[in-house]
Amino acid sequence: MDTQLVIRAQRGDKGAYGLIATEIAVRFLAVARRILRDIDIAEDATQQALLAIWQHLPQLRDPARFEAWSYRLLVRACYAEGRAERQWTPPFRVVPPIKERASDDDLSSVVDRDELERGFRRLSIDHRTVVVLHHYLDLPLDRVADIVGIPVGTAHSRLHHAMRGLRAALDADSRPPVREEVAQ
Amino acid sequence: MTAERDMTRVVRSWLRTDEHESAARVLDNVLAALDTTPQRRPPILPAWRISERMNRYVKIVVAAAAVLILAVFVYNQLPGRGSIGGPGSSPSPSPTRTLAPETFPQGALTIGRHGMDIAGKRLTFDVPIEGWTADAPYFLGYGSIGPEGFAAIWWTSDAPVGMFSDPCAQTEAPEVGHNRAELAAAVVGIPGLEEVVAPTDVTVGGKPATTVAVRMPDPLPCPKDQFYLWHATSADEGRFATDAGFIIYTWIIDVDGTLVWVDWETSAEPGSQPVAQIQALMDSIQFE
Repeated sequence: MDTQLVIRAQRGDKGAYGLIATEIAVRFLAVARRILRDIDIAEDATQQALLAIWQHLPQLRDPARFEAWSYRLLVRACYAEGRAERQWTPPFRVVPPIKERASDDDLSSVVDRDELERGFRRLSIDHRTVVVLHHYLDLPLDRVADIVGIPVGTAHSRLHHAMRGLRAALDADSRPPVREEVAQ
Repeated sequence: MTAERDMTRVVRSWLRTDEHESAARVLDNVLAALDTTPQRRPPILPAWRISERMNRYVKIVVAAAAVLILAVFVYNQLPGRGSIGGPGSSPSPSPTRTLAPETFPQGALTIGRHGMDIAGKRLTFDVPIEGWTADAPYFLGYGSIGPEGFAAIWWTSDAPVGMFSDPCAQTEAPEVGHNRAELAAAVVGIPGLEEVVAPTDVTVGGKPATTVAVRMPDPLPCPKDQFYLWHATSADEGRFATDAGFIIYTWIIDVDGTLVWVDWETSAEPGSQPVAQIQALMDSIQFE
């Protein structure tokens, strides 16, 4: 992120902040959606985060730390929106272009995706956040811990727990059905 | 260790699928809200205290500077004030929805008769109890959608013209005739949907109509906002699933050759109180 742009936005330059928001909005929405597993809630969280960044930007002491600081506000917004009671929003928008699918080498089947989705949804938002920041944004765990506001050891622990849960979800699906023993 | 690496690879791959978020709507809202969202400046805390021995002249200068800083701060909070360094460039506006802003109710609806323009046709309907809300130009609902609440999409510009043959891949199905019977049959023909109410001919406001209800798969085979069902002209506006297992009750009404289309959605089953409320509203419709 252009530090001069951040400084201008800190001084109240709405045009500068518009450029910043335009640059980060898609990435923020992608992160929020992966944490929250719901596009409507993710859009609300992203919107809340972008407005919170604008509001609190003058309080950011070091503009060079904008990225980590802004992710912290996004994670807070995800937590807040994830716990809020939801109102229905219309399922209606411009149809996106045909998407690219993961190759079979990367992800073996639709079943895997379904099981991963179910397993991921069963994780707490705390665990999902660590997985997304580490495995989607490729942030090292010390930076993840800084953004979430937890000790590095806790970040390691949450990641381990989350991955174990996801593995269990996949294993449960691949396990053959148990045959019932019939009493003689 | 190998298994761990495999798991990491699978999760990373899964997280990177379906990267098609459009932040246009979010950006529109954020940029529009900036004018009414003041920045919060850090409090001005003195890093030092004015010494008791400081002379009177210095105290006056410091007080004047404080007043000046406060004045600049207040000035910058005024609506429409830009940056100290001059105006920056504004991002170009993002594309927005193309539905025409037809006459449509807005906000909490009072008990009584209300009207809306749908596909160029004027209709009125009864709101029997409090709790109904509307959000122009297409939303009408009661409570939170679920087992007790419901909501509707009114296709205010024009009725859908086609379905998706692969909802997750957003592949368009071959076109069918633009009439009640063929469109209703196409709705129940969308792969993965369960027919809850078969296409049935009814009348709405004295006009011939066809109603049909379908249940979304549970679980959905892809994220709900990527499970597309039907679309308007050229597939540029599509309707996707609200949630796994929800039921969509659709009415397609032929108003003197123009199709009026409404989708009600709830998790309530046919015969339940919420569905009876939907039916009561549909029964109250009159065309002008």
